[in-house]
Amino acid sequence: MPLFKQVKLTTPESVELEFTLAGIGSRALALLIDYHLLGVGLVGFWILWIIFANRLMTYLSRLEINYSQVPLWLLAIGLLISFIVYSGYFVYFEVVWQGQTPGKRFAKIRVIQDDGKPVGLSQAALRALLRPIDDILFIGVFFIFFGRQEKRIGDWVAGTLVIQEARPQLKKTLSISETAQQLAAQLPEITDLTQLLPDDFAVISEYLHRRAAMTRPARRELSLKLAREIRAIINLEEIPPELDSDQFLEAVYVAYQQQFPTY
Amino acid sequence: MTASSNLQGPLSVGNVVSAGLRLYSNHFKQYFGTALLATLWVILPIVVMAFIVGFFAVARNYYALLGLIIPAWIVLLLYCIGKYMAGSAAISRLAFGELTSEPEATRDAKRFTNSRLWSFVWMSLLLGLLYFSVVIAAYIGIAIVFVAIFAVLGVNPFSAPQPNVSDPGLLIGIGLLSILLILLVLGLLLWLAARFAVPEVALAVETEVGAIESLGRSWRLTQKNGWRIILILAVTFLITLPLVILIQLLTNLVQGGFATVTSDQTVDPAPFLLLISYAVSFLGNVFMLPLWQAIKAVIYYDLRSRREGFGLQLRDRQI
Repeated sequence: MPLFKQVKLTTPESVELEFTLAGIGSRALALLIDYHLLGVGLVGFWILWIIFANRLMTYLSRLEINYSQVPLWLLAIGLLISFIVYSGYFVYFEVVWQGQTPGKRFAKIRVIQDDGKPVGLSQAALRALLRPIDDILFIGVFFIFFGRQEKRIGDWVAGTLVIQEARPQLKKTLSISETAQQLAAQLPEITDLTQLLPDDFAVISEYLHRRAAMTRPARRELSLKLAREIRAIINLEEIPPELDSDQFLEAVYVAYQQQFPTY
Repeated sequence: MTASSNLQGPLSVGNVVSAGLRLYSNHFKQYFGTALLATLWVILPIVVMAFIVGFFAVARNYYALLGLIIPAWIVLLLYCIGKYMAGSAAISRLAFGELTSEPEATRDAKRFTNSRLWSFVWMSLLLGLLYFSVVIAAYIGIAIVFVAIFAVLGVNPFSAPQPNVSDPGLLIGIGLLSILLILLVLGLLLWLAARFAVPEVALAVETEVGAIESLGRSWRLTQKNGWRIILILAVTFLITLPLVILIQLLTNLVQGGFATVTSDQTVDPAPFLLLISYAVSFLGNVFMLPLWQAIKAVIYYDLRSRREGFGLQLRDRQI
């Protein structure tokens, strides 16, 4: 059974798109971050508002007029501004950042319309206005958890989905050592690179991109194992003794990329 | 998702939590049953203790037997803790098996973890000792800081007429400093919890790892990932909140209902209420346990994939 739910959408141009739904964890993470930012913002606002109110009251007390209604108004206006900040935060970011808020950007998720289009002002506003209802007793969480499309009430009403952002295709460039470059130039002549399938190349590429984060013993072991297997696949007699396994894998990576540039 | 066959790569914080939750809901009966049996073991020493206390309260004799009963009870307690840990670790083992597309029967997973029961006990004792010493060291550190501050200010808390320390600025300063220190200690404990998040999964999965090595494994695997794991734990806590609140509401409801029913009778409702709230919180714990165990398994799987390139292998040429 898949761990992440997929949805297939058909756009008005009848193009079929497939998305992975955001999942409850990413949405909770986004909410955690957004609410902390909002919390800091609102506390800041109220501190300023109280200072302002204090100043105003001292000023009014000097004027010798009846200002008994003013504190109530100040409170009301403060609450109204708080509500506008709370809703406006989500509406503003979701419209301007095409379905993302700072929290969603961090969690790498995005709101889209049911037909795959980016959300507009009306969808973002509906989602934001129904947010308090979803938050009461965590109703939204149960809707997301039990629903097939992970929609909270705001999503149902606004006709939106929350999806994972596709992983960016542009990976950071690899640093390939000098010796590996030299071997890469010779490899097509002395070996049979056509034996290497795209899947194998993908494994080499993954290893080379992720090796920096690995522990040293695990990295050495994995590198050696991959190098041995690749050597056998491409029919190379032996790895040139002046190269270590990492450099050999780099060379294969470069040579394969030059021979089949589409990968 | 067959994790080993595709190159999904490392998981994001949110996806670790989602995957753990999905594993639990896909195997609810299996994990919940295992958690229930594991947690029942914790009750056994409590029941035995109640019997012992009851016996001596009635008999008021044979006190010499205590020298025998107490050590025996401690051994029983440790054994039961081991059973509990082995049972809950079996859930992590099952979840890890799903992630690597090598699912296992519950019985086999339990047999494996039960065979290393005393390693689990030993590991948790060591870990407990570590946390204990950190907390003690933090206490001593904080005490030294405050003694130093009072010494600088010339305040002697043991001399009877206190010098005047009602300066509000000073009091606020000391208050803020205390809050800061407490946050620091909490942060340190949280960070330790992240670094030692997965020793039981290592014990439950890897064959040649013992109690001490499992702690080392967790420490090395979580290197450079401490804050990420803290975030995972925080998000997990957040999504368990609705359930915690639901359980709390349920307890209050039951207690309230019970109180109105028994209010006009002579029965003292207190013991029943206590029993009910214990039962509800027990069930709540059983319900939460598999979620945490599954998420730990996903954390462990993800760390192995990040730190050791786990799952990076070429396709099998023989087929």
